[in-house]
Amino acid sequence: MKKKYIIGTVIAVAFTVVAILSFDSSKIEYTNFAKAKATEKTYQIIGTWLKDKPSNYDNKENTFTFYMCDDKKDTACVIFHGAKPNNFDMATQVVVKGSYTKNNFHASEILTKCPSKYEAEMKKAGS
Amino acid sequence: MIGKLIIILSFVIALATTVAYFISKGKDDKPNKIGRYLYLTLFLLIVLASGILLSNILSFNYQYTYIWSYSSKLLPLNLLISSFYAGQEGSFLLWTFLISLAGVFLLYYTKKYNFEHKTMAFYTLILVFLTLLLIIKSPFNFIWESFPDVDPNVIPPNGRGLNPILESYWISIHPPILFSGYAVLSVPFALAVAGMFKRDYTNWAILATPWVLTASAILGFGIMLGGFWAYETLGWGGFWGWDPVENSSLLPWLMSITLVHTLLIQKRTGGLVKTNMILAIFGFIFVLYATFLTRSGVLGDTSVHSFVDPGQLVYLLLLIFLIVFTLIGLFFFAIRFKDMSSKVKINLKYDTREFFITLGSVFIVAVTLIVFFGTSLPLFQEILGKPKAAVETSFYNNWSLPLAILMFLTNAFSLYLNWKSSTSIGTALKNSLVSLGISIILTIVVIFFGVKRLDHILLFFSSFFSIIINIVFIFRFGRKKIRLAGSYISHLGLALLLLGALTSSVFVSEKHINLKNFSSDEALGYKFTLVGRDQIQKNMPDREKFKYHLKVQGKGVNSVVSPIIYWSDFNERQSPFFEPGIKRYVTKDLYVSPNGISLEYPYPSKDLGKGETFVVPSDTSFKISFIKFDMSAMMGGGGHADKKVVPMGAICELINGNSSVIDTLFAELNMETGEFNPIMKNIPGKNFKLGFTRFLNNPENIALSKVEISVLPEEQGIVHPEEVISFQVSTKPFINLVWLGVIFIVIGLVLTIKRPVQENGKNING
Repeated sequence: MKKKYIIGTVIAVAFTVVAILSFDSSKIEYTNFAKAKATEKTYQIIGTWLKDKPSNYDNKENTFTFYMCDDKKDTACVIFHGAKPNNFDMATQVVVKGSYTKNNFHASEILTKCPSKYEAEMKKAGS
Repeated sequence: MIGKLIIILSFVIALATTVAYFISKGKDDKPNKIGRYLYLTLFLLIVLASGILLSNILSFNYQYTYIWSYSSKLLPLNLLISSFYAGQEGSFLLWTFLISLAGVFLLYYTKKYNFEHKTMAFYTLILVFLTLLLIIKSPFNFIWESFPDVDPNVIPPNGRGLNPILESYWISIHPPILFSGYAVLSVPFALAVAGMFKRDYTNWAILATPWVLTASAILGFGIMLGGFWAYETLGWGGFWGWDPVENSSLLPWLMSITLVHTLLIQKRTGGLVKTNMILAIFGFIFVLYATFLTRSGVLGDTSVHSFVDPGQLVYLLLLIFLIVFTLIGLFFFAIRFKDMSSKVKINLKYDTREFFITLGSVFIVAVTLIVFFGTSLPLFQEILGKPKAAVETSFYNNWSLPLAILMFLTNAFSLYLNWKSSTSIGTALKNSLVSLGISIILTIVVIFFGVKRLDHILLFFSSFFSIIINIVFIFRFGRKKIRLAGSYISHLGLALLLLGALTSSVFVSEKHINLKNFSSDEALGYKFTLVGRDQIQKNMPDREKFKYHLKVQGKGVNSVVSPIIYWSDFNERQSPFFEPGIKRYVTKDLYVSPNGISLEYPYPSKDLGKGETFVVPSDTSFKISFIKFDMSAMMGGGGHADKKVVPMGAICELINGNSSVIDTLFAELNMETGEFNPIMKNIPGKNFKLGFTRFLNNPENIALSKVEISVLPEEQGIVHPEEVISFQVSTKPFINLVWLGVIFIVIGLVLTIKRPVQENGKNING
């Protein structure tokens, strides 16, 4: 009986340790462009799309390029490897996940945060 | 008003029911009877409230904020009904309805076995919280209550409608099934806590078993329907993405299927009493946790699903809901811990079936922990005051793969062992030699077909092993009585599901192609030709929806696949929505997912809304900013009213470095033919000219119409743009194993429900 508990505990501890280690290594932090630029690590960055700067979907490369401003008011050119998300125009906030290579932020994923239809409607009504 | 009153009344009665049941000392005393009548009244009130909401939706009463926000006269009947739970308020009401409905069954079920008063006391407490939530987050608020500046005398003529991506028949099926699963899973919780309250650690488990099996079947089916929806119409490419919303529905299901195993052990051996208690508690806590994660807005930045911030009060109440029930569960577990420990003494021998089933359960719990910690990371970081973070999806894959291998090996091997009596491991191994041999041969075959990674090879091997032995057992037991084969059918299903998940995601081949109408491109050994489009749903004025037809030829295939591209008023037709086209074959799916439309010009151009700016790519110091339309000529101001061709102007600010001028770019519009002829404007000192080359009308709101401005080299003439559509084409090998697997899992679980129900009569002594 005792032996079983010891074996069980050892396995549980080992599992926990390995889990925590892998947990840490697959963690992607949210940061800003300045910090992301300093390393090659993958980060997520929250910001807004700068609509007055050029944006373009290159259908040969399947990349969507746009300019984004983070919460520190730093601007970066983001190259998203995929097509323009369909609610991108409505988004009040975008979250990009990726890393810096050279001077561009290469994103593998984009999340768009849209105002609920509701807020948009009310804002329109209010203006 | 009446709806709100009924909800408030429900809350009061739920509270009274809970109190009555708590006072009750046992079967058929007065408080118990009162509790019973109160509960049935509560149920009828909730039915009434749901009926009122539904009838208001069906009679288009848009003075209700909730109905106005999610419903619309344009919706067909099935979607109109689904708009009942399209938002938070309604989905809380649906959940409340389903829980109260399950409670009616639970009441008569527990009454029969003298478990009624305590079980219903805790169960109704859930409804106390839910009705309170509905008071705060009411679907019965009027527009003028939600928006004080709205005139109460004006009833909106139409609602805002559903998000078009939700407009599919799946919304009629997936959420109600998922919510039913959640509702049924709250029953084992109530039974477990009642059991601890009564110091009855055996009967509750027998009583809970059919509910746990039902919850596992319904929830598993519901989760997978969501995956099928994502795959089939949302075009996410896969059926599972480890998104927080998916994960949070997976957690209660994982607890539920663990309980299926551990309850069986308790029934067979009398062991795992505490384990079952804690699992039943956490099954329900994970339901609440899922609600908290998906409804409180905490995961807003980390999920592809959109979340609505429900407001501080709801956030707080959901949190209290979660904490209160966690504390109730853990409190009773703590005070009965010693008692439960003293009641059972079993020695789990390692060469018995119960040991291996326990081991399998440990692996499921390990998966649960992985999913729990991964999903909760953003929350933990926030609580610890650390920077926001989330885990990569590879985290889940890397962990679930080896755990799946261990599960299959455990499952397969356990079937060579007996209950209680020891079978020597050597004998078991010897008996399994044939299955092992066949599995090894099959594995060599898949290696031959190009499977290289060791973990993939092991997954193939272990699932083959599990598939073979389960098929043998299905025939052995299913021949006598098909429902005796239930568990083997489910395990077979799980192996097929994970094999399909591996093949369809790891061995997927993918390519990006661009097609103009009647042009072709080669990808994955097929030739794709775009052969035109058909408009569908023409009777719906809020959208323009097209099926694009792609001819697929090659590899013995000659057929047409038709993905969908549409524009909707929902996003003011700013950008298109897409639905994939899928060609299904037995061994693979051909998946064609459109993801972009570009207009191809030999020169740069851009669509501008009011206030938007276009930077000339070849000369970034020159910018064009669209201010407004000049429609004076069209309106008859310039004596053009009777003419066929009228000028239309786009007033723009032309910014050249530091200087800027306001100017109007004109185009001539032929009112009869719709022909649109831009009048190009040369820019002094620059080698390009500007033109208002297209008018992008927004029929709903003329103010949101756009202009297309083009920058042409001096010598270039105007050309019509060509539509270029981008597609992601892929083949998903053996994706059908996934759907087949789920069907087997669910059928297997359903087959096993009946047996414990019948046995309850024999085993419970009231």
